[in-house]
Amino acid sequence: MRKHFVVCTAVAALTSALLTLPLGAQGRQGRAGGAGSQAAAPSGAPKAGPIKRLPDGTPDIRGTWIRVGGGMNEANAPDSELKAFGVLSEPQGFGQGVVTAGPEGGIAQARTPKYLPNPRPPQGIVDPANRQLPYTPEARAKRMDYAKNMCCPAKALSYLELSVRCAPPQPWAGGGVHIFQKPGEISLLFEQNHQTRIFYTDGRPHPSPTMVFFGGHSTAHWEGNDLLVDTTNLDGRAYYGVGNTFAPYSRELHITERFTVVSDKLITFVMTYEDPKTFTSPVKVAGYLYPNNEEEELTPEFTCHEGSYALENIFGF
Amino acid sequence: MGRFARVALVGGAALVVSTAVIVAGGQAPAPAPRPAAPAAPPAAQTRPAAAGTQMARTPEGKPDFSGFWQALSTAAWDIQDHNSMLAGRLGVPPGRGIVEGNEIPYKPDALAQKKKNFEKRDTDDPAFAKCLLPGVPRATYMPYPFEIVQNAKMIGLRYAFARATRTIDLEGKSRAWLEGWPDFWMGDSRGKWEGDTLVVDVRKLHENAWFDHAGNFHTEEMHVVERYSPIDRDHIQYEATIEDPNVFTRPWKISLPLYRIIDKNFEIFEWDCRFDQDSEKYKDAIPK
Repeated sequence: MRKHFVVCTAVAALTSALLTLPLGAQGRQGRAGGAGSQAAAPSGAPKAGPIKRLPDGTPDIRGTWIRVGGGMNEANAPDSELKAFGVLSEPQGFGQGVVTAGPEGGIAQARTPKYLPNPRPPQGIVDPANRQLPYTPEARAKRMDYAKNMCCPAKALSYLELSVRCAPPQPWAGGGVHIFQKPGEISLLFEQNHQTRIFYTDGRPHPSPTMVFFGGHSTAHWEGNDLLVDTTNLDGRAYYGVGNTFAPYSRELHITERFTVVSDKLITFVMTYEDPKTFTSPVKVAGYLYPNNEEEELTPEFTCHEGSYALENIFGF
Repeated sequence: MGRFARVALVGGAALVVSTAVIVAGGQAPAPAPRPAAPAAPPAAQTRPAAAGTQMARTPEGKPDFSGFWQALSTAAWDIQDHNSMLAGRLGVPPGRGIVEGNEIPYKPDALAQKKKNFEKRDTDDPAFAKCLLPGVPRATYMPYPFEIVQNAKMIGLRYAFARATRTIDLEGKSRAWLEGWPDFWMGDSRGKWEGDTLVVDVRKLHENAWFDHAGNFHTEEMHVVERYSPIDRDHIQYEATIEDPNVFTRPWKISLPLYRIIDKNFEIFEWDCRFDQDSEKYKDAIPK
């Protein structure tokens, strides 16, 4: 019993501490290893390769992948405004090498990902070109208010960064992901906080806008080797990552994603965020997925609520 | 009487059941899950499928369990035969259990612990009271739907309750790397096909999960072997054999059918009731 308590707490603490690790580094294997920081990552046109097909001719992307990028970590922009609050501009830890949790909550050495693409495709903000988020004045004020009041302790529940509360990660949750395909549906089972995303390809509409979810609701269709995903019904209470940026979106946020199947070993993607209440222009963020090493497995479980005492510690009951 | 007529008949009573849980847990309303039915069918025998309604098959020739499923039973409250009980302001109707022979072979001290759990079920049930991951096998008969997604090398399960997920490895990979890891609330699952039956070996299950709201429990030594057998296109016979030498004197078995959900555009929406509970609990709280 005691062992479980310690470990679960450690995992929860790690989750909170390493939120800038969008790849869910809690797995034992080394998907974080050498992924490279945004600035340092070389990029270039990825090489096309063979693509498996399903009977209906669409790309067969079933399997276990590691996702890189998709976060909105700005360049140096927040420093001037947010540094006073201990806010960091670049993700700390992610892509820096061997930050991987092992048994008993310890740090394990990461292994080399076999299929990490070289050169690496772009990741992070690709539009605007200066990699600074084009906030509206209202959203910028909200962001500053959040930064001032979120730590430590948070001034109210509404200022608590959502992952501290074990909220399901937003659509850009990273890390290991199992992809399943069947007619009408592509299912993604993420390692991180057992998040799932379903891309419905059967033509169904989004549900009523009164229904909102942290992960939103996604429909999709194929255009050749590109999978176009449309996500709405987002909760609006979102975070970009601890120590980074904090403005919640509005419920008008609309995310479109274009996943390009480059080969059986690489899928690149660009996510476009449109939210007129938050951004003055659309923001585009890139990333990619590469296959997990065949002989390795993702960790079978990455829980949060079950080992988290964060709220009790903060509020004292 | 067809399945659909039966569902319609029990729908009203079942809604009461669902509501009772919500009240007990103090959580926000569920995203309209199809509710549980009050009475479990007796431990079913696999019956031959009617012509033309066999379970679809994957390209590899295995039964294709893809789709949405749900147990129609009150087993999540008590896996043994039970009288009505209060759960919050409403209640749970009497129901047949899913334990073969209705007896759980507890050791004497474990039975005493089960009785203690029962007394504290309104506050201590990890699932209904705390919205934590339901564990295996309870996830299967929670009164909410779950989805099976299926590849040749892996099967995935997405449960509505607590956003629980499981993956079942079908490649026979070694479990050696799991040594030293903590136990998992949803366990570590390894599957294989025996004819048309999916047999899943589940270990490393966390001791804090319960079998039901009545406080039936196990330790981390529990070993579960699940069997998913197709009955016909819309029904799976589910069985689980349970061993735990710390708690039980012998292996025992549960058995129940699972029903396919065929509603148009049915979905399992994101539902984190623990988050909702926390939102309610700390709504006006001041940090210490």
